[in-house]
Amino acid sequence: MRNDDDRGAPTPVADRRRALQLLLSGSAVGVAALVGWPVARYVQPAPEDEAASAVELPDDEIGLWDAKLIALRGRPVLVVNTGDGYEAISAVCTHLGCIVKWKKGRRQFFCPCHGGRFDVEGRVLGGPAPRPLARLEVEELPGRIVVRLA
Amino acid sequence: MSGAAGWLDRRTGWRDFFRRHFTEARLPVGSDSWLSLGWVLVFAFALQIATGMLLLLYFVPAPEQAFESVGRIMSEVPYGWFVRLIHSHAANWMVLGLFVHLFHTALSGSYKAPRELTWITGCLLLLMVLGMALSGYILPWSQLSYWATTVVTASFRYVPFVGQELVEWVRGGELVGAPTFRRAFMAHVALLPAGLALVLVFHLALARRAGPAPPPVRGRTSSGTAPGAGIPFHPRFVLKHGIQIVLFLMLVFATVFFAPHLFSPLESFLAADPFDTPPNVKPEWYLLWAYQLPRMVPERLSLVLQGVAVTGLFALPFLDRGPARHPLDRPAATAAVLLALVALVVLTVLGYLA
Ligand code: HEM
Ligand code: FES
Repeated sequence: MRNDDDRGAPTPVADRRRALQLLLSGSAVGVAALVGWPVARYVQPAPEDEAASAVELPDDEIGLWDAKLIALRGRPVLVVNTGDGYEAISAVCTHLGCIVKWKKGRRQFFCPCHGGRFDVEGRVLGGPAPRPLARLEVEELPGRIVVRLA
Repeated sequence: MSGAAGWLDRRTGWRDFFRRHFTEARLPVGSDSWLSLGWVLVFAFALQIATGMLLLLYFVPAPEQAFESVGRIMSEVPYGWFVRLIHSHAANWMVLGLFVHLFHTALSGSYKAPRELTWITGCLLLLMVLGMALSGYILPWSQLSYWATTVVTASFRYVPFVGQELVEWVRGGELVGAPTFRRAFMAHVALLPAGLALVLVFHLALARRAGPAPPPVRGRTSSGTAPGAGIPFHPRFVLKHGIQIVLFLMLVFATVFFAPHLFSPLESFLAADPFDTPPNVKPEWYLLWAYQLPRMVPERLSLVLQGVAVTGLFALPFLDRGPARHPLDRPAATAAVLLALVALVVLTVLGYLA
């Protein structure tokens, strides 16, 4: 559509208006992105503290088929003495994150929330857990053991 | 008009606004008892704001100190127990009131044109109040807070595609911890109250614009009252609403005084211990249905069912579009709503007994 006093002009008013609108909404999108990106980054989980990724224990501290709960970078880890070595298993259940307990009599990890069961190497034996418990690295040195994040 | 009120009125026109929307607004007879429930909920929200602000004077919003500060509120601060119990009991009764309000609206067909947006804003309010209750639950940082939060946030893992990222984003880290606490605190005292107030204003304005739906009549399709008909809001409705607000307060006080531990199982008296999960962690009663469902059907299916239920809830006015409002005149919609209600109650009871 043309305006009266615009007759014959190279740029009709409607075109100019459309171009301006496009420019305006374009810059609105740009401003939104400029604000949105930093905000989105800001609310992202902050990186975790990298400290203490190994824990040392004296090797006479855990009895045969007993377990000890230790903290490895703030995460609960169960260390079990199997007689011919040690297993270090993350105690966070792979189902909904409850903390599993070690049942010495059955030699199994048991989850109090929905009854997940795992063997001493963390493999699922029963219950709703979708994945085995995470296994950590254990290094046996003379007189002590070192548990490390794999 | 003279004096300060007159001075204000000449500049703001508040008298006219007040008369038009409150004292002299005309409402149909018959629906007043149910209508009052809405005002009870508005009152309950105000009560939560008031008691919440009082709690903020003594509550220490840091995970290492929160549990102790809540203990101090309960045993040392004069009347601290009173303020805290009102806040937590009224929160629970408010959630129950919302469910009743919603099911009444659904069964009486009051969500139909022109009230679809009132319904949708109402559903939003329900979700936001559930968010308030959940985030508030985290703040005392008890064993119950910690483990209920762990299990509830972990279940977001079943959301398709972005599940694991979503869990960590909500928690602010891999496990529930200090960042989770700070997120919950921010949501509970800033984001959600502001959002709730905004949506509530829209909800009420929309409800007023359409006027209250008259009680449904068998075989008739009326969705409103002729303009000018009905009874002025003041004094009849003011009194009716006032009576129900007093009844609500009596209910809150009754449980605060005579059953103070009604909403606090044993685990809420122990400080959070991220290394020790107590047996039988259960969410609060209004989430028991979501806790029970995956115990009875495969977890993915239960997520699909929940998604369908929430979508159906929001979409109800567009699924049941006919003009009939009486429950017996639209058997399919009524059956669906009743089925949802029965499922909700049965799952809750089973979850409670489990
Ligand atoms: C719809 C509104 C609200 C609901 C449903 C609600 C619900 C809750 C719940 C269930 C708790 C845990 C109670 C307990 O076990 O101790 C809580 C705690 C708390 N709320 Fe709210 N709340 C609401 C509004 C507010 C507002 C507006 C504020 C602040 C302005 C607030 C401040 C607090 C504080 C500081 C606590 C921690 C103290 C404590 O746990 O007793 N709340 N809220
Ligand atoms: S959280 Fe361990 S079985 Fe569910």
